[in-house]
Amino acid sequence: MLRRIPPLLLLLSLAVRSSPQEPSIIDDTSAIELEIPGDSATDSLPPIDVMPQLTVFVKADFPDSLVQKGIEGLVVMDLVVTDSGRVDSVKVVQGLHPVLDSAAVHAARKFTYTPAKSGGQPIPVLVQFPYRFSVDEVVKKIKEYVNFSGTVIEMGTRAPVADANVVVTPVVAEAGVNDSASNVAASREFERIGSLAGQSYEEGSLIALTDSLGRFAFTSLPAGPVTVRVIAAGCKDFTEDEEILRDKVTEVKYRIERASYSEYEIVAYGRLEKKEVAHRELSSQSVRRIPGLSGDPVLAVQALPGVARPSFGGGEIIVRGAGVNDNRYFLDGVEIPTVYHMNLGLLKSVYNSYALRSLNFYPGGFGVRYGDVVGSVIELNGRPSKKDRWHGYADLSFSDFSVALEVPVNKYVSVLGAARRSHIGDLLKWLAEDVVQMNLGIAAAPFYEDFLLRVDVNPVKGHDFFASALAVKESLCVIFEDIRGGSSDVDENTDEMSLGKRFSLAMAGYDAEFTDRLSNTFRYGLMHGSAKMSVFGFYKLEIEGFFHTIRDQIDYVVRDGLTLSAGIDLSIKPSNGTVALALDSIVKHKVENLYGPLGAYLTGEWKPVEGLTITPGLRYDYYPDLDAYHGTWLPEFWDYDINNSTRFSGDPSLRINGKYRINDRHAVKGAIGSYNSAPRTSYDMGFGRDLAHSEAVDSVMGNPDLATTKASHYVLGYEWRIADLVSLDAQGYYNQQWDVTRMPDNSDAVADFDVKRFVDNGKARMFGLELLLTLDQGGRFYGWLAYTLARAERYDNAREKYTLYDRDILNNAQLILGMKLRGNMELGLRLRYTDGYPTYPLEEVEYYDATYLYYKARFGTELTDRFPPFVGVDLRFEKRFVFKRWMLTMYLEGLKLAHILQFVDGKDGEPLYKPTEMDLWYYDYSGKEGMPDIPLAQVGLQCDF
Amino acid sequence: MRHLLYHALMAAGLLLAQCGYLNTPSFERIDDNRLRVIGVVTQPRAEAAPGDTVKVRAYFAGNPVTNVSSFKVSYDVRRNFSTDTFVNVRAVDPVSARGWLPDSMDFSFVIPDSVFLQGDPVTYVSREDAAWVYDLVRRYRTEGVSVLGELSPGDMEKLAAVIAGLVKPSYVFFTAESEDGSRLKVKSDILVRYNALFAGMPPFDAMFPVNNNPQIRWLGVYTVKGYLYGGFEPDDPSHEGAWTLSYLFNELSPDSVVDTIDIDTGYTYFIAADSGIIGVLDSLGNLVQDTSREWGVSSMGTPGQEEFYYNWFWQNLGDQADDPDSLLVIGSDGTSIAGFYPPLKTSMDRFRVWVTVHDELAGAVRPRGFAVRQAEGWLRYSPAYRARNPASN
Repeated sequence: MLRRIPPLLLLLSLAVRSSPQEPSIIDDTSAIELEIPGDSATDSLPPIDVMPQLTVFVKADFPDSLVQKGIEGLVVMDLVVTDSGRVDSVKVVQGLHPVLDSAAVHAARKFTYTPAKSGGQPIPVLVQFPYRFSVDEVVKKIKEYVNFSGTVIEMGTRAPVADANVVVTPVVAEAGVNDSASNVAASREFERIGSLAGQSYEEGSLIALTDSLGRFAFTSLPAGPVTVRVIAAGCKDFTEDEEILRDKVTEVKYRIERASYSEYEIVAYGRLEKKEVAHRELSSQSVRRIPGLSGDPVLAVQALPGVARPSFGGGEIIVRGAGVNDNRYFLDGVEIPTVYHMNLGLLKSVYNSYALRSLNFYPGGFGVRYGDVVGSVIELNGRPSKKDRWHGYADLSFSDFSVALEVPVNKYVSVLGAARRSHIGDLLKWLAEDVVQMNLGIAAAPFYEDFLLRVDVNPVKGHDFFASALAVKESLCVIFEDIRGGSSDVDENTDEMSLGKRFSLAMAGYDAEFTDRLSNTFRYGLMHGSAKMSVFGFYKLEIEGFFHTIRDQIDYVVRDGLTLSAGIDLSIKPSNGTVALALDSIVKHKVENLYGPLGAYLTGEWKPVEGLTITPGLRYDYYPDLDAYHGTWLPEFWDYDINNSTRFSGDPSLRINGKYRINDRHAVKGAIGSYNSAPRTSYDMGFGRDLAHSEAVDSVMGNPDLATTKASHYVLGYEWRIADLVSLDAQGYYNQQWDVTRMPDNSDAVADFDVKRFVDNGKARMFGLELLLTLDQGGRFYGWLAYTLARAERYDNAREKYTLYDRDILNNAQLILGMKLRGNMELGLRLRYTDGYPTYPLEEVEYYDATYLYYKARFGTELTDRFPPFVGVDLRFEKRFVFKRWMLTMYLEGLKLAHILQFVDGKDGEPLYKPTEMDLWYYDYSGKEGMPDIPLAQVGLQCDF
Repeated sequence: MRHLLYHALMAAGLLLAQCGYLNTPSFERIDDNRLRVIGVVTQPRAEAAPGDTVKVRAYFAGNPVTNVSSFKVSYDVRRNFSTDTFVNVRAVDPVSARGWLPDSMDFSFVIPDSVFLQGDPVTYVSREDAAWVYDLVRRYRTEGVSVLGELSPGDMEKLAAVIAGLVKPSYVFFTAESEDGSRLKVKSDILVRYNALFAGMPPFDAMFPVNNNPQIRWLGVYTVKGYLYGGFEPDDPSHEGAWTLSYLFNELSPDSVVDTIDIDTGYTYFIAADSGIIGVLDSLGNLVQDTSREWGVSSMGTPGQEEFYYNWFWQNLGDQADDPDSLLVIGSDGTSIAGFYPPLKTSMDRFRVWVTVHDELAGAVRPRGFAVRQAEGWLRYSPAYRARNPASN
C-alpha cells in the first residue's frame, strides 16, 4: 500500500509538540527513504529538494468527557499532501480512541502545507503525522473563571458562617467505565485547578473558605456532577450534590444547622487582658440562659461575687456592702437613674437586653472615668443594628411582651428599635377577679414599659455616629377597696399607695479616630425624668427635671506602652416639684434643685516593663449646689478631718490601678483610689440617685448644708488561668466611707435632731474576699462558681462603734451551671446559698395598744440577729426549633425550687426547709414565722429571625 | 415612712400571692390560752375635760384575767421613730372606783384641772392663754355660765381659738395578769380638751363639739339563701326575701334575741352589727334611726360625718381543733357586716363573738370613740350539713 505512489517519500515527524491548540507541526522534518520491498525502481526516484511545510493547523476536538477521564496519547496518521499542499487523504495508522481518532482525522483534513518539491517541481508526498491529545495541555489552557459560587448561612438565624470549609468532590465515574482511571483523571484535573487563587486541593477535593459574609467561590471547575460538603466549627456537617456547567455559573445558598444554638459564650471576668482590676464584663448573649435571671444581663450582676442578694421582692443592687445609692448606672456613657424595673421580684432591666452589646460592671477600685460615685458602676453598652439584613425578635412570657427590629438602611446607616410592655398586673388581676373570683379588696398593679431606638451612621471609616432614645415608664400601685386615708387636697386618690416614674433619654455619640495615635469619644444626653409617689391622702411627691450630660474623652498614644487620656464629665440637672403632707394641716412644699457634678480627669496607661500595666488617674469634681465641703484640695484616702470652708471648692480624686502579668497563666493586680459623691439618702425608692440627692439637701425635707460623701477603695487580686477554659479570679478589698449622709439620732446635737432630717457625719467600712471560678464555654458544660466572704459595717454614733450594716451578708455562694443537650435543648442550673440579712432582736412587748389594736414591741438597737440562710435552686430548660428563616424558642424557668421543700414535712414534722425572707411576728410577738417565699415559674416563647 | 413604702408594696403584692398559706395565730380569733384585751372604752364619752372623772372599762377575753394593776396616766409623749417615750406619768389615784364585771373591769380617775399648765409647755397655745382659760373655767364651775356671758365678742373669739388649741392626748396604762400567769401591759388613748365641759350647753356645744362613743345596739346573724361569694347587703333588692336575721343581742328588743343559729347547706351566713346608720325595730315595732354617727369638721375645715370601722373577734368554745380554720371563722373587711363561716368540723357548736367599733373623721384630730359588744351562741347543724361536714372532719 505504501508503494502506490512511486515517488513517495516518507516523511517522519521526529519532534512533535503536543498542544492541540497549536499545530503539531513538523519542525524538524526529514525525508526518510523507505525501502520498498520488491520495487527497485524507487531507488531511482529523484531526491526531494524542498520539504513540505505545515502552514495551517486545525485543532482536533477533545471532548470534556474524555479529558475528565484522562484519556490522552497519540493518534498517528498518514497524510497525502498533494502538489498543491492540500491534504488529500488521511489514514490512521495508530489509533487512540475512536472519538479521538475521528477528531484527529477531521482536523488533519483541514491542514495546509507548502508543497514538497523535487527538481524544482511540486510533487505529492506522503507525510506521517502524530497528533497528540494531552490532558495537561487542555487544563493548562483553561481560562480562569468562576463557575461555582454561593453563600453559607446559619439555619434559623440566617447569620453568615465565616471560615467554613466548602469541599467540592467530583462524583465518582459512571458504571461501566474504568472507575479508578476516571477518578484519577478527575483528581488530577482538580489538583491542577487547586492552585488557582482562593481554592486549594486536598485528597481529591477542592476546598474554599467562606469569608466574613459567608461567601465562597470556585474557579474553573470542570463541568459535571460534584458533591459539596460544608464543614464549619460549631455546625453540623452539610452535604449537597450539584451539577457544574461549563459555561454557566452555578449559584447556591446553603443553610447549615448549628450543633447548638446556645448563645452562652463569654463571661469575661478578671481576664488577664482586662485593664481594670475588678472589671467584669458580661455580654448580652452570655447570660440569656442563666436561670433565675430572666435572660437579663443586669440581673446577672447579682450572680457575681461581691453582690448581695436583693431584698424580698426588690431588686436593688448592693455591691461590696455599699449603700443602694452608692452605685451609678450608665448607658453608653450617659447616666440613667435606674437599670431595672419594679416588678414584684420578676425584675427586668430598663434597657432591652436584645439591644445590649455588653455590660461593664466595676464593683470597686475603678478608674477616674467615673465620678460622683463611692460604690460601684454599671455601664450598659448598646449595640448598633446588624448590617447584613433585617433582624428581629418577639418574646412573650408571663410578665411581659417585647419586640425588636433592626434594619440596615444602607451601607452607612442602620436602625435598631425595641419595645416592651408588662402585662403581669393585668394577668394577676384577671386571675383574681375572673378565674378565682376572689374579692381581695385590694388591687396591685405593677406596670412597666420601655422603648428604645438607635440609629448608627458610619460615613467614613474611623468616624462613627449614633443617636439613641430610651423611654421608660413604670408604676406600682396598690388600691384598697375599703380603705381611705388623708385628704383629697393632698391626693385625690385617697384609697391607694402608688409609685410611678418615667424618664426619656435622647443621646448622641461620636467616636473618632483621627490618626493611629489620636482618638476622641463624645457623648451628649438629654433626659427628662419625673417621679410620683403617694400614700393615700397623707403624702404626695411629684418631681421632674431635665438633665443634660456631656462627656468627652480624648486619647493620645504617645508611644508604645504609653497612652494619655483626658476627659470632661459634666452634668446639669435642674429639677423641681412639690411635696404635700397631711399633718395637722395640709403642708405643701416646693422642691427646687440645680444639681450637677462638673468633673474633669486625666489618666493614662503606662507599661514600663513587660507584663506590667499601670493606670494612674486624677479627677476633680465640683458640686455647684453644695455649700459645704469637708475636705482638702488633696485627695483623701481617709478622713483628714479638715473643714474646707471655701465655697467654690470640690473634691479631688487620685486612683491607681496596676496589674503584673507574671506569665500567660498568672497575674497579680491591685488598686487604690479615693472617691467622692454628692450627699444622698441611704434609702432608695426606686427613683434613682438624683431624687435621693434632692431629698437629702432639700431645705425642708433635708439639710442643704450637707457635704460630699468620701470613700477610699483598696483592692488586691490574683488571676490564674488553670486551664484553657478554667480560670480563677480572687480579690480582696477594703473600702471605707466617711462624711456619709445619715439620719440624726440621739448622738447628734439637739438642734440637728429636731430640725434636720439628715446629717453628714456617718461612717462605713466594708471588707471581704471574692472568688470566682469560671468554666468557659467550650464543652458541654459551662458556668461559674462565685463565693464572697464579706462584712459591711456602719458606724453607730450613739454607741461610738461599728455595727453591722442591715444589708450585710457574711457568706454568699452561687453556682451557675449550663449544660447543652442534644436537639437544641439546654438546661441551666443556679444554686444559691447566702446568709440571712441581719435583723434586730426582740427585747420585749411594751404594751397592747387598745385604741389602735396592736401590740407594741421594742426591738434591740443593734443588728445582732440574722434571718435564716437562703437556699435557692433555679432551673431553666429551653428547646429551640430551628426553621429555615427563623427560630422558635420555648423556655420554662422554675425559680426558687428548693422552696417546695417547705411543703414537705420531715421526720420531726417540721418542713424540710423553711425559706424566710422577713420575720412575720405573731400579733402579740409570742412567736414568729418567716415570710414564706414561694417557688415561681415562668414560661415563655421567643421568636428570632 | 417613705423608705418603708416600697417594701410595704412589695410585701402586699406577695402576700396576695401567698394568702392562706401562713398558719400564724389570728389576731381576731380568740384562743383559750392567750390573754386578750378586746377593747378599752372611756366613759361617759370618748374625750374628757380637765377636772372630769373618767371611767375606763377594759374588756378581756381568752385566758381569764385575774388581776389588774399598775394604773397610770401619761399626759405627754416624745415621739421618735418607733421609740415613743411617755412622760409626765402619774399613778392613778388608788381611791378611784374599781369593779369587776363578767367580761370586763373598770376603774376611774380624775383629769387634773391644771393639766394644760403642767408638764411640758403647751405647743400651740401660750401658757398665758392657757392660764386665762384655766381661770375662766374655774370661775365657770363656781359661778356658772354667766361668767361666759361677761366676755366681749373678741374674748369669745379668743376663747374659741384657745380652746381649739388646748388639746392634750393622754395615755392610760394598766397591767393585766391572767390565770396562766402571763402579764400584759395595756395602753389606751384619751383626748383631753375642754369641749366636754360645754356638752349640752347651746350655743357653746356647737362651738365646741364633743365626740361620743359609738353604740352597738344589736348584733345578729343573717342567713341568706344560696351561696354568695361576694358581699351581702340586706337592702339590695336582689336579696329581698332571701334572708332572715337572728339577733344574738338586741338592746331595743331583747325578746327577739335567740341563742342558736341553724346551719344548713344551701345558705350563706353573715354576722352583722348596728352600723350606726341603718335603723332597727324596737320592741314596739318602731324603726329606730341612727343616733350615734356624728358630724364634725376636719382639720381642713371640711364638714363630714364620721366613719365607723369594725373589728370582729370570735372564739370557738369547746372543741379546739388542730386546724382552727376548720372551725368557725369570721372574715371581715372592717365593715358592719362580716362573713360568718360555719365550722367544717361539726363537733364544734358553741361560739362567742365580739365586735368593736371605733369612729374616725378623715383629716380631723379628734378623739377616737370606741364601743365593744359581746354575744354568745350555739350552732345547730342540719343532717345535710352534718353529712357533708362530719364531726371528725
